[in-house]
Amino acid sequence: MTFRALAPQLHSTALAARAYFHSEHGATGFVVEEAFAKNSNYVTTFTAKLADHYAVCIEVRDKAYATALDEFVVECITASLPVKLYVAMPTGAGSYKEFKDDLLCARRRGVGIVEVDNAGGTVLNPAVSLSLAGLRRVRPLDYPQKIRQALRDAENTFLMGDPPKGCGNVYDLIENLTRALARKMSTNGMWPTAPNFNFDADPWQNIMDHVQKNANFQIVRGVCPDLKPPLFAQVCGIIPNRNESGHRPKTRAQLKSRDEKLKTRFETACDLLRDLILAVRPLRIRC
Amino acid sequence: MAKPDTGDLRDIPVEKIDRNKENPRVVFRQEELDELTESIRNYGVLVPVSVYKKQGRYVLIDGERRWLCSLKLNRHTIPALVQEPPSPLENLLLMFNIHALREQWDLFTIALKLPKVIDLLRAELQREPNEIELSAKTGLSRSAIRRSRLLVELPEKYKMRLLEELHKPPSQQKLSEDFFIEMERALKTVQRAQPSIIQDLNKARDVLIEKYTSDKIKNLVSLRLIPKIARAENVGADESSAQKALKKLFQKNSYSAEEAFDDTVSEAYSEKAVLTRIDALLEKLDQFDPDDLDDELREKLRTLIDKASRLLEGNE
Repeated sequence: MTFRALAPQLHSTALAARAYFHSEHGATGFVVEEAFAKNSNYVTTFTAKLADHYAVCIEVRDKAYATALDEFVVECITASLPVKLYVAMPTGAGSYKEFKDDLLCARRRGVGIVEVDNAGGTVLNPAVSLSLAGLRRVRPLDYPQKIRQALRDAENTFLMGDPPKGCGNVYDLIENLTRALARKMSTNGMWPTAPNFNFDADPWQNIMDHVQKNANFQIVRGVCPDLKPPLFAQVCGIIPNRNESGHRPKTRAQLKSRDEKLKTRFETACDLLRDLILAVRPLRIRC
Repeated sequence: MAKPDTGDLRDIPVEKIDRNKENPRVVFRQEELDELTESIRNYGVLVPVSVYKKQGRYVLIDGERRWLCSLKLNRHTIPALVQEPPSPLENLLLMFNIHALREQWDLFTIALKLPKVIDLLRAELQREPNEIELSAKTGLSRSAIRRSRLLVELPEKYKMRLLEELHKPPSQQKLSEDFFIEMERALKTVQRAQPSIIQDLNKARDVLIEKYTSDKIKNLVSLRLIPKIARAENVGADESSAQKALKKLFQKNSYSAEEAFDDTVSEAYSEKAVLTRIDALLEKLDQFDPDDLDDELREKLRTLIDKASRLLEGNE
């Protein structure tokens, strides 16, 4: 293995990093000092493939982060490239003065940090796929206190490797809220023609379709001015996504496309949840 | 020698460039490279690198950092002055002159290549090159050459230790080139003046390194006290106590160079310093006429006479 750009004192760290990512992350197809994409603006020490079709770019350095990586991160985020970027540094190298700042910097950008030596490695900060890292973050104060933790967990699940499940968790919150809303509307006369639904068990889609079509929005407007038909249309629109079985992407292109889609879905679902909560507030429905 | 200003300027593929194995510079600090990377990202390579052609590829003469950063930035080409292939000696000397005159290198990197320069020069001159010739050829000062020689003569494990330190930013380096140079100077003097003291030179080095890194030897100036102790005889101090102190100093303990100096030769050196000053003063006083003395000087001389008299009377 020949390194051209890597400083000689880091060669052993690079070899340790390669061994660690191969054995612990199952990375294969290591390429040394070649650009991830033809016109990429930065060349990391290694590029390899992970079993889930993500690429892992490993930059071997003696420090946790450097602004030199910023442009590469931005490029990957902008192009939604399914890449996990790790900085591998020698074990114990994190004792320098600015390490905390660098760690924070890396965390904010979704860049992983791992300490490696011949005995193995320790992840100090897990990497987020840069195709997901540009996610618009949840603002906890926009939501009731009771669901903030659930939302935070959903976001972490989304970013830390299972985006379909992260989306699913937000959909769960929307489903719980809208089922409770439907029950309340049927008992409050806002939905006079409501069939005898089992609001906990009947298909969500059926309930929402019926509400959207048959609710008396004149009555609804008097109680909840913001609870309008388009909001129900949006709920109906996400239900197929909620029910979509998560097929695993078979290629990197599929992965890229899926991540782009899921990022939008996650953000849209969070927005919808926030709007619904605001709209149903007069009904005092528990989330 | 190939002349940089006769080069042919063109953009050449970054991938076709190889580093020059003779480049004395082996330490490229990450921070410096990161800064240059950002600069090249923003403004491009403003100063062309220098290369020569070899078997369809190019070998760097000057500009390794610019080339490294261009590689990292996935730049496809880099502006380069393509020069005539130099001879092995020209190759080395060209880089010495380009770099040594333009930017501050770590002395150690120069030291590592100096023996090769000496070998090539010896072959060319058919004799051992002297310091003046080396200085003229490499563009280094004679003192830099002497200091380099001290470093290059270090045993391998200390060279590795120094190299490790040099990769760190200067503010984080525990052991510097200056430390090793001062240590070697001190040890050489001890070996010359007191041959029986150091049985195992590496052990002595290890002790001094340990004492320096643990602050028992506080700074480089403290290392300069060691040769003074070794030359106790020169100042009329007790040589056997100096030897005992040196032996103690070269053992693993908390005994510092300052303590050893105070215990042995401190007073003798103070006396010597006073004597030197008195000699200088006497010589200066000879140049005065009584009419030249102003009131302040007269007062100071009287104080001096009083103090000297009291000291002498006390002694009697």
